[in-house]
Amino acid sequence: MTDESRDELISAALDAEPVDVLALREALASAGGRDTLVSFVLLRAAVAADTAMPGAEPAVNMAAARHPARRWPVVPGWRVPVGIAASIAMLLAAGSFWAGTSWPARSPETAAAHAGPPSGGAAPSSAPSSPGAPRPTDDDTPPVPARVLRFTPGVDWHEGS
Amino acid sequence: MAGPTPEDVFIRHGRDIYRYLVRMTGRPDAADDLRQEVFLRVVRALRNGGPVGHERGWVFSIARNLVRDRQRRQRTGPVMVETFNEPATAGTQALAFGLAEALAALADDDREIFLLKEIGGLSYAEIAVTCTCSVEAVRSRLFRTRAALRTTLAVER
Repeated sequence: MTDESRDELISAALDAEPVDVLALREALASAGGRDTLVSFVLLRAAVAADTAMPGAEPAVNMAAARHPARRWPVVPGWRVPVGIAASIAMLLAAGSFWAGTSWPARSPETAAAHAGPPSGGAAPSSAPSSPGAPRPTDDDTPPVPARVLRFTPGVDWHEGS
Repeated sequence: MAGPTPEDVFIRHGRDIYRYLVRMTGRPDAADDLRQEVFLRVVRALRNGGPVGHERGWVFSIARNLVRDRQRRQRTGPVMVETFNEPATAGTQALAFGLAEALAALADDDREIFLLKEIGGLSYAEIAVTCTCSVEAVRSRLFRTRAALRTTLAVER
């Protein structure tokens, strides 16, 4: 056994790797082998004596990595960028507002035409609430009647009925 | 049974990972940065299924790969740093002070295997997997590294 193979055997034994026990006994029987063993043990102790300590603990960063900032859920296949979706929603809202404010209001004449000619008979009707009735205005002028209902006593109306 | 949490892995290996990184880079600040990166990768990996194989070997493999990436980017050898801020045990103190310089003088591959063994505590088989070499190569290189350090540091009884 050469010195190199002897020392390599001792090195492996020091690392708890499988070695030939008889060869190890032979290696340690020599003074050179024992010196090698002691030197390697001292070397290991020197490395173990390294007391270098890390700086700031990474716990905060680890927590951030484990719980990243919440993102909007994305349905697979519907990956619409948030910016585009928001733009579409704003356009729809603005369009609805514009339509509501600029749509031409129905005039009373138009409403009367839609309501049909005044009935001369006794057709009971809920005239004030008919959908064709003109809208009430804010001033004191009473609205123009859209329909005139005439009741003939004894014909369309009986006392006590 | 639930797998290890990132905190578990950090508590078990964080300090040794740092020591390994300091020795490999020669710079405590770089070691701090790399250690953060190691554990960020641990967090991501645990989220995606956990460690592959032996946990300690897995974490040191991540650290080793990060060191390799850094070395490829910088192509600068480690510089000697004094990181022994506490007295070592009697008989090893002087040796410890010279160790940083001696380690810095080693080839990257030799220093890597030596530290994976001495600090990481990995088996030859785990080192072989980590460094993509044979177990016989690990055994031989580890012995030669020890012999070189022994000569450099004049380690004798």
